[in-house]
Parts: sequence; C-alpha cells; structure tokens
Amino acid sequence: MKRTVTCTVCPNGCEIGIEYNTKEDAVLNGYGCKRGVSYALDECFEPKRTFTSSVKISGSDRRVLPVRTTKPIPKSILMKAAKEVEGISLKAPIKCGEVIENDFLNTKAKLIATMTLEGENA
Amino acid sequence: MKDCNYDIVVVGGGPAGLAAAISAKKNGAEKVVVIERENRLGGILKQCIHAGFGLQYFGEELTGPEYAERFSVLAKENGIDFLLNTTAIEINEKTLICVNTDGVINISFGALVLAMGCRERTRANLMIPGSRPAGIYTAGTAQKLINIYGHRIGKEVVILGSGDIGMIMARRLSLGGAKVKAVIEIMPYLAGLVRNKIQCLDDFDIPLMLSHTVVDINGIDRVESVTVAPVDENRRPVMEKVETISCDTLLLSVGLIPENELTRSADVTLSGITKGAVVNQFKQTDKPYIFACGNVLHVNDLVDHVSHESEDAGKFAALYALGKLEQNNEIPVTPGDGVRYVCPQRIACENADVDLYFRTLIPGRQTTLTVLDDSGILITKKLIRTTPGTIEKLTIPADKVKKIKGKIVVCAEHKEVCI
Repeated sequence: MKRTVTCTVCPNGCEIGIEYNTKEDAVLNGYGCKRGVSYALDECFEPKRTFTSSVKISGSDRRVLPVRTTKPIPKSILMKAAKEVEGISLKAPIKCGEVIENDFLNTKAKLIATMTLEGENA
Repeated sequence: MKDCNYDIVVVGGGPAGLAAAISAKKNGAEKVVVIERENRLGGILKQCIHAGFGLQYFGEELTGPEYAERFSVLAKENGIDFLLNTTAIEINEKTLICVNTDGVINISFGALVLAMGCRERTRANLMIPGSRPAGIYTAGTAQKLINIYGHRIGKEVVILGSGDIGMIMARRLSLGGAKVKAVIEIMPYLAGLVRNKIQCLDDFDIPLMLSHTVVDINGIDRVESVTVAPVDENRRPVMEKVETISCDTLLLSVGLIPENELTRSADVTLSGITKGAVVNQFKQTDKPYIFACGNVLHVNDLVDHVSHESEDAGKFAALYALGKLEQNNEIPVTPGDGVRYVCPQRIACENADVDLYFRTLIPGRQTTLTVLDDSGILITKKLIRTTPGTIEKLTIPADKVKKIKGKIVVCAEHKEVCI
C-alpha cells in the first residue's frame, strides 16, 4: 500500500508519504518530527481523534458544559461517543479539567469538563 | 461606577485583550482595566469547544474555553480590573466613553489597546437572492446556538464557504446527527486550514464543491432547498448548469470583518485590505496612544498568533504610557508579488527583531518567501506548501533591522501553483 497523509498534529501540515504492507515494515518520508511518524502510522492502521462535545448541566446560567477526551480515541467510535454524551446530565458548580468519566467507552481516555461553571448562587 | 483613570485600557476581553492586559501589567503599567460587553471573559473562544488551540503557545492541544480560562486566570492573578457587561461606545481623545447598567462612564487613559475582534459576513454582504425563510445562519451564530445555548438548528444542512468555522460546524452538526450535504466554495481552493478539511469534512464523507456558489435560496417559512451553480474563471455562476440541493438549513462561512466602529470614532487610519488599523511593529496606530491587536487588527488563523501579537501590543502600550517608547522614523512595509497583505504596514528601525505576519494570494507548493529592502534580499524562507488560509510569519533579525534601506517588500513565489 502506498498513500500520502497530511499531518494534523500541528499547523505545519507536513505531507507524509507512507509505503507499507504491515505496520512493522512501513517506510515513511516527508515528516518534520517524530509526532508526524506516529500520526501517519495511526492514520493508516488506527486513526484517532480528540473528541469534543457538550453535555447538559443544571444550576448554572449556561445550559450546556463543553467536554473533551484527554487523548485521541478511535475515529470509528466518534458517533458512538456523541450518542454517549447525550445521556450525561451534570450539576454546577464544576471546574475546568474535572473528570466526568474515568474510562470513556473503554478507551482509557478520560472525559473532562473544559470550562469552569460556578453555581447560580455563587 | 464613577469616571476613572487607568494607565492602560483594553477594549475586549477575548484572547487578544487578555494577553495584551497581562503583558501591559508585566511591562510596568500599574493600573490596567479590560472592558468586556459580555458577562464572561474569553470572547469567541467560549463557543469554540473543539480542540486544536495552544499547540504553539502552550505546546499542548486545548479547546477554546480551556485556552481562554488559562488567560483569564492569569489576568486575575496579575491584578487586572474588569468591567463586564460594559460596552465601549466612543473614543474622545484620551478618554474612552463606556456604557453599562450604571450609566455612562468616562475612562481616561495613558494608552488604549483595541481588541474587539471581528464579526461574520452575512447573507446581506453576499447579496444572495431568494426568499427569506428561517434556517439561514452564519456559522458562528450556529456555533453559539449549539455550543452555548444547547439548541439544535437543523437536520439537513448545506454550508456556503469553506472557512474554518463552517468546516468545524460541519463536524459538530454531523456528530449531533444532522446530515451535512455539501460545503460549497466559490474559489477553486479551500478557504480554511487543511487540517480542518481532513478532520471535519473527509472524516464524515462531506463533499467539498470547489468553484461553486449558491445562487438561490428556496422556501417560504423554512429553507427547503438551495440552488447551486458552478462558477467560471471570473467567479460568475454558469446558470445552465444549476442543481438543487434539498436542505432545511444554510450556514454561511464566508469571511470575517474586523469590528472597527470604535476605531473609526478616533479617526485612526484603517487598511483597505485587512480592514483593521494600519500599525507599526509595536501595534501602534497613527494615533500614537492607540494600539490594536488580534482579529480587530487583521483576521488570524490561529489564536496562538493572536496571543503573541497581543503581548507585543500590551507591552508597547505600557511603555508608551510610561513615556518609554521612543518614536523613530518609520519606513513602509508593502505586499509584493504573491502576497495579499503584510501586518505591520510600517516599521521603526529599532535594535530589535521585527515579526512580519502576512497571507499569500493563492495556494502553491515549494514556496519561497522573501523580504527585500531597496538594497536587496534581507531574508528568505522555503516552505513545502502555503495557502491563503494560513498566516505566514517571517522575522527580520535586529542586526538587519538597523541597516534597512528604503522600504520593505514581502514576496511569495510558488514553484507549483495549486488551483
């Protein structure tokens, strides 16, 4: 297999050429750093994305709280992840970085709040 | 609140205003205040809940709210004052006139930093014909409705314009169960960042229709469909080849305009290209006590750039207020072949590095970026690829700044044009 992967790790957007039969024998070129190598390999064998969304929250002036996973999760379960967070309902106050789920969808990634919301009477 | 006096007044509590305020304080300004019209700090970052912020500035990937919170915590720790729910309405010499529920407040200042950000171009700006049904939003408004108010906005969506916010909303809507039928771009190339095309369009199999535009919006109460046509090389729609795409929602992601009404009240000279103030490398406008930074100065691609630029604005505003910013002769900086604009538009030849931020005109590969003065090439840089969606940066080192002759021109030459 031969393909070109545009790296999205940083804004440089290196175009990484990759030629492979298996993950072990892959030959890469065009990468600017080591992170690009692992991104390109992941992109070919197990593409991952950081998942961001929002969940319901009560007791705040806001109705929704933004959340994210602490590391990228398999791209193939993004839709499942979106469904999963629809069922979550929290109560303010909550702090930015607070863990909502420890092992989100068995990915070993945590689901955390990405904004501090004081309680309504704070 | 009574009329008051500050060394530095910053208008806008988004990423630019916060970085400028913190930097002003760190560089010796004693009294610093940020004026913010909303009830929370953070500006547009509050609604940008996706990841990808901070890779350059913090060396880690954050979401917009997290990036904003880091700066608002720092600002509070540094003893900066805030006036929330307050709108700045006019600049009158060295006084800023504000209004909030207490009434009118006059704030006099040593230096003023403008950091009001930008707003979206609308359907009216594009003059798209058709009826006026519900279901037409700018991408940023849709983003606010979904990410801040928790609403759903539609089930079948067409997005006009391949700007970054539009692509990010394509992903957000897809994950929320909506069907995004197409992203339509009038230019023959992508307007936003390549990473967003990959993560937001390709990941969800959303077609990108380049060299196409929306020529009609159909539906009376609610959008029912849009009529789409390819465009010729002069960007005129080819009406013989129109097609109809059924949808209940149309998002517009067709560019941003710096919000400079306040700036005009002070008679500051604006650039016809960036639509922001004309500044030197200190981010100082032609009214020496007024500085500008962030998207009100020129629309940026990454908030990380905004933070760096705004730290400069805050620093030099503080030095000006303290009487420590020397005013030397300035030389013009102009865009040459292949470059749309350069910011700053003029530089004072000091003994310090000068950063030039600019956008190229068209996408290409194997690009050579060059900075010249009247005596020849000062610096060059080669890049694998450049696109107008990305801001490029070149730094003229201090030893070369001192020796600049005549004017500065920035050029970009592609070995291969990608249209």
